[in-house]
Amino acid sequence: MAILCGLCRKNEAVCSVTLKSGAEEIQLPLCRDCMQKVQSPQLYFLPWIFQDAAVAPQKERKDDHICPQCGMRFEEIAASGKVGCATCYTTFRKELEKSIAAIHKTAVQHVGKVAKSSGATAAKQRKIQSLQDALAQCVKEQRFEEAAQLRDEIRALESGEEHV
Amino acid sequence: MVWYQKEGAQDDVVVSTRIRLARNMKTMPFPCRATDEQQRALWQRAEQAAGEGRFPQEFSCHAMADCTQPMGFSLVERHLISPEFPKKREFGLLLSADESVSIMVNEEDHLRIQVLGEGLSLQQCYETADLFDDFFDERLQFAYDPQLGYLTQCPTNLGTGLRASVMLHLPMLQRNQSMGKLSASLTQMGMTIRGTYGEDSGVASAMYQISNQVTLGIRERDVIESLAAVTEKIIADEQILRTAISKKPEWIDRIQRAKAVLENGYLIRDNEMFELVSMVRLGVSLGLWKEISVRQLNEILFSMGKYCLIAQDPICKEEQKRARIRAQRIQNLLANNTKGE
Repeated sequence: MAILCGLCRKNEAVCSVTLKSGAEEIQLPLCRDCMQKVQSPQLYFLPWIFQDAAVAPQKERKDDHICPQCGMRFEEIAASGKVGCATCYTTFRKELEKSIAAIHKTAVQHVGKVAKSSGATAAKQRKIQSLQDALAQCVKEQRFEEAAQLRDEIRALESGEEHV
Repeated sequence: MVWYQKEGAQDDVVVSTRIRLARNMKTMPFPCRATDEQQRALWQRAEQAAGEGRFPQEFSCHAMADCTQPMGFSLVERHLISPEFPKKREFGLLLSADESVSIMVNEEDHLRIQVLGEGLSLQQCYETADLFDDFFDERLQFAYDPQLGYLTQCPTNLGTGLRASVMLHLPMLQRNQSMGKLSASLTQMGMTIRGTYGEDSGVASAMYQISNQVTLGIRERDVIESLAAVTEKIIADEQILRTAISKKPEWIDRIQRAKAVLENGYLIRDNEMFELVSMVRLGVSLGLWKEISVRQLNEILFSMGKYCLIAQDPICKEEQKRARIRAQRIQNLLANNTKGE
């Protein structure tokens, strides 16, 4: 669904600007015409427009945020506690991560079996992850020589993956 | 031979072990979002896979659409499918000849691979489940993410998708009112305990199921090891309490009476059966007699519940007739094995 411009509410938005009003940040979608009108940075005198204008387009943006594989919206997941498909986990990763961490009371990182069908890639990613953890620890403890070694190892693994 | 007819480790307290893996396909929406057609297609693929003849034992395929209601509920009673399962249409069950491996298709997840085992057998059950996991992964390509692990319909199963559980017979801990305390300490360890066998019979049968809660950020091996360690500790606590009553006349009397009813009762009703089995089980573990074995009692537990009997004979729909048939079957079972030994 096309997002309408939050100012004129007629044309399709081509970009969005971030407006700060106190601590609050508002994303305002703008069409090409309105964008040119407001390009001067004197936006701060316009908050009365944004209060009104920002609501409608933001709602539309939410509607637009649906899973491309199964058509699920995040609100539906939140209401039912059920995820629609594997792609939902990619689409709503950010939204889901908090509750996943809360459910499992742990850092969100799988450490168990790696599915064979995912190929070596997942195993390799896990290896990279564990090397990264070790690297972080080395840096924290100022063991730079080891850290450099780990960094090279990570780079080698990562570049190897590109050639696969 | 069905799995519960085998002798198991620590089976005076541990009735059974269960391993369950939740798995889903990458390419198809999860059951809550899949169309009937998609679900049917998955069931057909699962049936085909079972028909390849690569499983170590024979499997039977049960499409729930063809199952009668009592048949569905009898599968629930035998812990082969979950209680919600018989209400859904588009799913099926692959069941091994010894009933130890059951694969639910289109339940909460595309596949739920479940392995039941006698006594305390977490490691063996997991290894079996692992083999079936690889087998189906090769054919269906499971949804997997390096950070989230196996992707499941409910985020509570993310990660390993593993639920490991043991069913324990804890009459003395229950009597000692230790269950509340036990439950609280298990929660702290990421595990949970609940009564099993009927809403009120949880108390009557003193059967409890302990399982892991957390599936993400923990390895399968660690889940199994910690569950086994906790189970050993609970067994030890239960045994201490059992020893304390082993010479008490009032207890021996109660147990002997239960045995007498089981062996001679004319009618044995649904919940009464759990109560009697529970008491007699205690008697066997105290070494009061040798003529009854834990295996026989497990067989009663797993094959003579309300719906198991109705599924085999519609006459059992009537409560009194069911109680009579049950009494006869229990007594036959006990008499046969006594002769055999």
